[in-house]
Amino acid sequence: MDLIKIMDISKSYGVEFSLQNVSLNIEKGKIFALLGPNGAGKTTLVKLMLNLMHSDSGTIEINGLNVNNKNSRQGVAFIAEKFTFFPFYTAKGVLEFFGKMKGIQGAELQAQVKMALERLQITDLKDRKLSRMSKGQMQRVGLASILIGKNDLIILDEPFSGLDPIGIRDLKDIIKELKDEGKTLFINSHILLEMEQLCDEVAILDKGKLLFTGSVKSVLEKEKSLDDFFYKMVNGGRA
Amino acid sequence: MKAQYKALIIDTMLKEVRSKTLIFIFVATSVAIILGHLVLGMITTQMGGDLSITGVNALSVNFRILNSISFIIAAIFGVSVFRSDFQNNIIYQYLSFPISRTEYFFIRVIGTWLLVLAYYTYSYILSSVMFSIAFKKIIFTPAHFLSFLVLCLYLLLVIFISIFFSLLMNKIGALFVTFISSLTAAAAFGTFSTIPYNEYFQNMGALKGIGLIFYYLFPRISFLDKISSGLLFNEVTTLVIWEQVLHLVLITGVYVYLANYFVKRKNF
Repeated sequence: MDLIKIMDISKSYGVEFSLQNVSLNIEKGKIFALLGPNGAGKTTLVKLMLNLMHSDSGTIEINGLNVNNKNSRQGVAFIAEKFTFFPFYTAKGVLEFFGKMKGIQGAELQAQVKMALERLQITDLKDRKLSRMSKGQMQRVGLASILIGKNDLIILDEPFSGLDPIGIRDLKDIIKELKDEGKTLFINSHILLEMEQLCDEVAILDKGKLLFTGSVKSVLEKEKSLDDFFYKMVNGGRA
Repeated sequence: MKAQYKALIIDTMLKEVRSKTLIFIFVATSVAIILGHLVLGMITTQMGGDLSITGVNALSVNFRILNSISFIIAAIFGVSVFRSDFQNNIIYQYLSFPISRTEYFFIRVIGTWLLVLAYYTYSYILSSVMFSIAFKKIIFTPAHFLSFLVLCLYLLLVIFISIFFSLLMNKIGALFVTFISSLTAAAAFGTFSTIPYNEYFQNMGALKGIGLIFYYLFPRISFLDKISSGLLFNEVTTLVIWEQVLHLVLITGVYVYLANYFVKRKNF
């Protein structure tokens, strides 16, 4: 069953196309990676999925609901490339706020916050304000927030950015655990090696056009690595 | 109230309460009120105690000054409440929650209003207590309370207007436009609300034309200010109340519609 349906989406900035007639279906329970060089249109697509932006044409549905409908974001967690929030919040405060915005309250919220802090190994930072955290620590707080609430779809924009090797390892473990729990993950990333290890499906976007969509398995049947395949697709498309 | 709304209102207040401007104005207002109380106390005890103005009027003058300061505070917070969400794209996180843009916008307005009201209420209560001590009797009247309620509505509209402008331009520009347009509308209100319709177009010049445009196309928040002031000083209004209320409701409705449209259509 498709959780995300992207149907013939186009978006331009002035005369330049950021996305041109992109169509994608993403199945429930899969880890999906959207790959592409800088300026390919990956972030634009994520923004359209979250209704942060309006498309010129086409529609996007999440869980059968048009993204214009606020309920399409029920059960969706999103973390931007560089997680930022108001600096006066503590790590615990951020997670509590995110929980409340997802309709969780009381003892359940406290239990989830405790679990998320422990899972990201930031319990000792729970009362520290974001203004006093390093970028890596802040990114961990952001990642902890995806564990708050009953999220069926988790959208991660360049999630490995700013993380140290331990953080990358922890995140990979979390992504695998979330998949085992039946969650769907949509990951925007440049780091092809990690994506090859983690993902079920990939799509390659370049200059707003979808060059490829298929399983990682099918890619590895054609090429030695996702990296080689990506290089050929993008450079082939440009040739 | 939905837990989401409550969380977002508290979030709005928490992010704005740290403003250095608010802290400065809060401290300055407290100092001014306490100094006023000391001066009044000195006059009433050491200089014979017979003031030419009554305690009620002294408090009314004080409230009038507070109303003007609260207008400035409301405008300052109005223009910054959204702009601060745009910094570092924090707004992405807010809009990824299952709330509509309309809900997000109006909850931010309400949160800002509650913060400004907290300042306004504090100043009102402190003034009433201090002036009552200085005059050795309770000088807060029901008219003061009614004036306070009208001003609360006035402040909500000032916040809304400043937020409206902040959707269209940067913070400084929005603050400037809020001040200029409110002052122009106040001057237009002072002129046109007191003359008969047949004199509107007599001796028409550029300034009068601009005034007329503002009088009809800008929410008549000056009407609320006038009513509040009238209650403070026990003035009988000559305004056609239903006409002013109708205009205020209709034009504010148009601005609410436009603000909602801009928020919904905005690309982040």
